[in-house]
Amino acid sequence: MARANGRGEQLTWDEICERFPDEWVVLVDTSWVNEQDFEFGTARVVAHHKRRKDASPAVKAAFQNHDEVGCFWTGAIHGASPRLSLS
Amino acid sequence: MKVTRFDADRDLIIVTGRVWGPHGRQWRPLRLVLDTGAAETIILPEVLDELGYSPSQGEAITVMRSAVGREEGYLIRVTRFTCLGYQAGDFRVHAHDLPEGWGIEGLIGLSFLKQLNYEVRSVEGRILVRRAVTDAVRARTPRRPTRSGRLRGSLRNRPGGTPEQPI
Repeated sequence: MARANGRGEQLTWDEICERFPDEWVVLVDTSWVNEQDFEFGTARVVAHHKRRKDASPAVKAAFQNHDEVGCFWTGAIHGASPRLSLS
Repeated sequence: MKVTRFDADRDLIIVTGRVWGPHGRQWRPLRLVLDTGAAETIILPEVLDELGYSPSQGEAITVMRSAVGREEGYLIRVTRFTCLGYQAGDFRVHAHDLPEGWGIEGLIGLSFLKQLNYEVRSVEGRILVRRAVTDAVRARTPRRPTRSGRLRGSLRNRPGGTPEQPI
């Protein structure tokens, strides 16, 4: 697991993106400014990974001590929507 | 009316949702693409696994056909889901992988959106949402009966949280 340096440090989203570019960051202690939008004051990064699946163990570990755990991509978001068919 | 903001400069409309675990205590904030062309609301399987859900709790196997081929997922009910200022209890989502490079954890589709009236103001980067529960909508939204035979409604708001309105 890639644990974040300075794990106790509260960071803004801009600071997180600057320190961990193009990575999935596992966040706890997030102080949501507006819970409806993606807007928070600061959060604590407990792990960071290049691949989303690699972040899962860190998310599960964080749930041992927190009721809310976030995992967000710090890079650009893009992609086309898939289409579904049920069987 | 609820107002949700999004970054109008992006190619996609990204909104924030939340999904709760099976015991209703732990939850995950999610970034989701608003997709009015998708029938189901999709959440990455690892998100559901992290919250304590299991594929064995799924209701049906599903298939997603895309440019890269045919992949299986499953339908599963989560105890609570919120997005755009509204919440749904016992809400069915589609657990399915998305390409790694997308940077999102799911899509919000018509399974959630069809219960709302919404107006996307692309230039302003705002989504205006009103609840629109009518008899016709209820009739189109099958809900699983509880053991007592009653229909499951929405759950109460989380104490101390934003007062999302039940759908």
